[in-house]
Amino acid sequence: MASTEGDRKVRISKIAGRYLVFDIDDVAYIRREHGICAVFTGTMPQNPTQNVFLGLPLELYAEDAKMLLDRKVAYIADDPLEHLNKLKSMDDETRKSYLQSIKTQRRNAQLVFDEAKAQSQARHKDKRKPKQQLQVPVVVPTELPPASVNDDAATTTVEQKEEESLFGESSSKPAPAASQKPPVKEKLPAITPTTSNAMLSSDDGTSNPADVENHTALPLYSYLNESGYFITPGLRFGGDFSVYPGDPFRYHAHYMANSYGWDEKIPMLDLVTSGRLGTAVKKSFLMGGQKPATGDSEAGELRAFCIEWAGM
Amino acid sequence: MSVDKHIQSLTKVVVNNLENQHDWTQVQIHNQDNLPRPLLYGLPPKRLYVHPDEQIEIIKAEKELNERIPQEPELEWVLPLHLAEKWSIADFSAVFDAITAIPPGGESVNISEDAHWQLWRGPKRGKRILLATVQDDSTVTYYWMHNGLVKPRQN
Amino acid sequence: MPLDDDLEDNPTLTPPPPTTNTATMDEGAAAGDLEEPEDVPTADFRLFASTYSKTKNISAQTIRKGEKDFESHGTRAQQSALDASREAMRDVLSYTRVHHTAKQGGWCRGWVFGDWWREWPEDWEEMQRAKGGKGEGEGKEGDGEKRVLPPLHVRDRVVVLEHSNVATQTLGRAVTGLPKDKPARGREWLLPEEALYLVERGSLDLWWPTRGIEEIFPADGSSPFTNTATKPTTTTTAGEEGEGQEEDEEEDDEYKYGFPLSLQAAYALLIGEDGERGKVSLQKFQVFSNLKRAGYNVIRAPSYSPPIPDDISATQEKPKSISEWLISCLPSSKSSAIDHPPYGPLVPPGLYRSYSTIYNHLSLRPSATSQPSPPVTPQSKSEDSPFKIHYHLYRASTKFVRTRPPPPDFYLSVISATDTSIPTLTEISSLLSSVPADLPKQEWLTGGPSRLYARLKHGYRNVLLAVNDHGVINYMRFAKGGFEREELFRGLDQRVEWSNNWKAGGGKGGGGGGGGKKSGNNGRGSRGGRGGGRGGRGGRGGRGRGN
Repeated sequence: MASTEGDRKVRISKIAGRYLVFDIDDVAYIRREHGICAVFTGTMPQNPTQNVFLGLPLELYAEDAKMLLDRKVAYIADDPLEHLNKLKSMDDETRKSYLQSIKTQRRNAQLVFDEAKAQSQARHKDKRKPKQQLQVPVVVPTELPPASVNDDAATTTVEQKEEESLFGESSSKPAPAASQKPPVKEKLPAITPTTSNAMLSSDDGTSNPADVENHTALPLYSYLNESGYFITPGLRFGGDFSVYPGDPFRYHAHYMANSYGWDEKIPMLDLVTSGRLGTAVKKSFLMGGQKPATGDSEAGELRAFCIEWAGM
Repeated sequence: MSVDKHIQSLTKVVVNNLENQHDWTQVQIHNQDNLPRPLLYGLPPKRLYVHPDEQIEIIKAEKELNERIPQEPELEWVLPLHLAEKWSIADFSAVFDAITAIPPGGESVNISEDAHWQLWRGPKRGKRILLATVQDDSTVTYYWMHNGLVKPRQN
Repeated sequence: MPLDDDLEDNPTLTPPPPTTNTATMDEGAAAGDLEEPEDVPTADFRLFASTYSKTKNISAQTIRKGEKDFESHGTRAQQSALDASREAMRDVLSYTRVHHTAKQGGWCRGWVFGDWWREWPEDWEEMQRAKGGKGEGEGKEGDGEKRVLPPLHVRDRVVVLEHSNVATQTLGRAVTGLPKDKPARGREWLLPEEALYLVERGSLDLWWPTRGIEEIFPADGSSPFTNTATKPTTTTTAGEEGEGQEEDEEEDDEYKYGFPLSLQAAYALLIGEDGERGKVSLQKFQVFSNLKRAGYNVIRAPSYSPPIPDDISATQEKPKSISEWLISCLPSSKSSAIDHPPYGPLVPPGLYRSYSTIYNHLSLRPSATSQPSPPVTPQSKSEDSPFKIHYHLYRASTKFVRTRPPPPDFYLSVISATDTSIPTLTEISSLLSSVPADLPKQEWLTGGPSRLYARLKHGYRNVLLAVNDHGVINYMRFAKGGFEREELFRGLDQRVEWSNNWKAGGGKGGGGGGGGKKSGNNGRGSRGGRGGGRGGRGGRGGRGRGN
């Protein structure tokens, strides 16, 4: 959670050659500022029996990772290595602050529970229907700013955050909420944090830097990205990429795109089938490639062509 | 040479198909030094391509004028190809680099700057080529290839 | 916590089977069909938020405004709708997984012991059973038929469960027949994909141990947590106001044996390269959890399974089921091996009274599917082919016990969209020969020509391919079509017969006609079989008019 956009570094977790983002703030930032939406791949704990809405982590293309790295707004972390190192030999200070952050989140969760219980009890009083009202869905925004974990002010930060996002109108402070209830006779609920931010060093990944491999489509990819297009995997429409004229939240894809080498020979049949398929889904088939750099010109030009059925 | 002969007959098949199956007129074979093979151009019986933005401007203009604007056909470029061929981005780029957006003689004389929709027949027209892909049974399929990013038509 | 476990696992909530796009050629590229799925991946989180969050007041109207546009018009309405969507995304995904430690069955803790089974013999259970030890999955079937235990994959089991809950019921396995002094005896162990899936759905509290397994799970079966579980309770009550010494002590006590891991850490520890011990590849994990979310029971397939011979064509010992028996009764054209002269027409000049004779003359090569499966040597190419069965699937409705699973409903191979090409004939045939036959339904087999397409479409054995492109998954079904079993020319003979009878005023006008009609309803593709069907129908029609 960077304070300003300027010095924000997105942590890209490289795990077994895949590029993942776990921090929702990073996700929101690259979507808003860098036109990268990528794919949510994780199960939503709020409703784990559906496949329509998926959540963190976000899986990036190698091209996304490379682009962000080149723009100096991200670092690639060797997550397995870094985690193992941290877990196997955790120093006291890290351990303390990590456990502290967990504890804070657990306490927050307890507060939300109490709140929900109180609400549902109130509702029960209202209408005495023995309906199963106990399952009040609540969103627990316990994503903690990792920076604040070490602070003495950790709790206040959390309180503030809660006022903003969770309790909104009711704005009940933790203390009164706790005092209203008789002392709880149970353990605090356990939590699973989404990120390891509170445990891992918050440096720019210089401790375990990793490379981005296999980004062959980068020229076309970044050309499209810089032109304002959003890119998602092309499997759905039968190309390498699906290309949207803006955030896919709002727009239909315009193109299904394939990236080729400059001199790569493309069978005409591929062009015809791709053109046909694209037209069938009301998209244009986009093919592009970059001229290799030569002596006189450093970065070769990128050429893109669009194919659609002529209707004759 | 056999390669030339192959291309000659390929061109012939396409000319034949354009004129007799699709009622094109004024079909010309276009030779140029920097072209890897001769192109064709000609006039389809009705307008073949309208850019989505042009479409919007036409509709606007029609609303203003309160009458339908007839869409005259335009001259179009055609690239004869055989299905068994393989072309690279470099090959296609060479073709596009060698041509003007509007085939010879197709420049409209009376384009008025005020009528925005008309610009699409002149300065705003992008380079596009009709890929005419010939199969062994002499079936010809036609696909548009546009230079650069050109958004799809919303049929 | 928004949903309780009993609700989460309500079978009535399980969605329909995955969209198994049949890999047959006749699934025409209808624009509508392909346009549809677009809205799925980009589904608006506002919709989700409105269902699950009572704190946000999102009216149905704002949701309905979520129709997508062709392109940006630069309007403020568009921008604010986008902002709202992104805000909803952020809200929904800021959720932290919470486990009710107090509620019975609400808390399930697992511990990562990645190397515990590292050197353990993979065939441990078989060895124990061979020694006469009582294995868990010992066959109790009356017929004495030995049930093969599902492979344990013991070396890949890296997370041991301390509790269990509803979500863990169909996952994990205990290693049986362990010596008495082995710590964590009888505990359930999870595969990496199972553990990660449970963490992700909020059903598992995954911990990193800072002590050895023998301290956390002593061999005597006692738990070090039984007393600490009560002690913190009191300290919590006491330490409610002052966050002083006492709480630190409690904390130390609670985290004496380890501490909880984040979702990110779980990924870092459990996701690995393809084939890495104790890990699962991201591609496979994504498919696994996609299927679990859809309600399927999923188990890892054996890492190697010998090819299963084509029991239908191999004119085997004795048919085991009625349907197999019926199949064996089907006439086989290949039996008539005609000796063709070295040159001259395939069909010698002469007078022919039936199509069958002519077609038998035309039949030169036996079809591949009627042959016994090609001998696939284990070490041959297929070994490094990506086309292998990775998971066995069970519909939610199939009664499933993890230690003695029934025959799978589906066999699934996970394929990368970017690194894998369309399978070669060798690859697909060796993949198909690694799964048992899956015959068409019995009423299709006995249904005669009218069920021709049902039979062809279903095929005689099949596999599912899950194609994964950076988390976007498509399911395809590859089936071995039984074209050689559908001898259309026999229908022609029947029609000749039928039309002769008709002309003669005979009342027998049966089966053949029905077949023609059914195929007509279906006729849209251009497959060989279809073409034949159409030809036949045309012929009949002509005769009908002639009447």
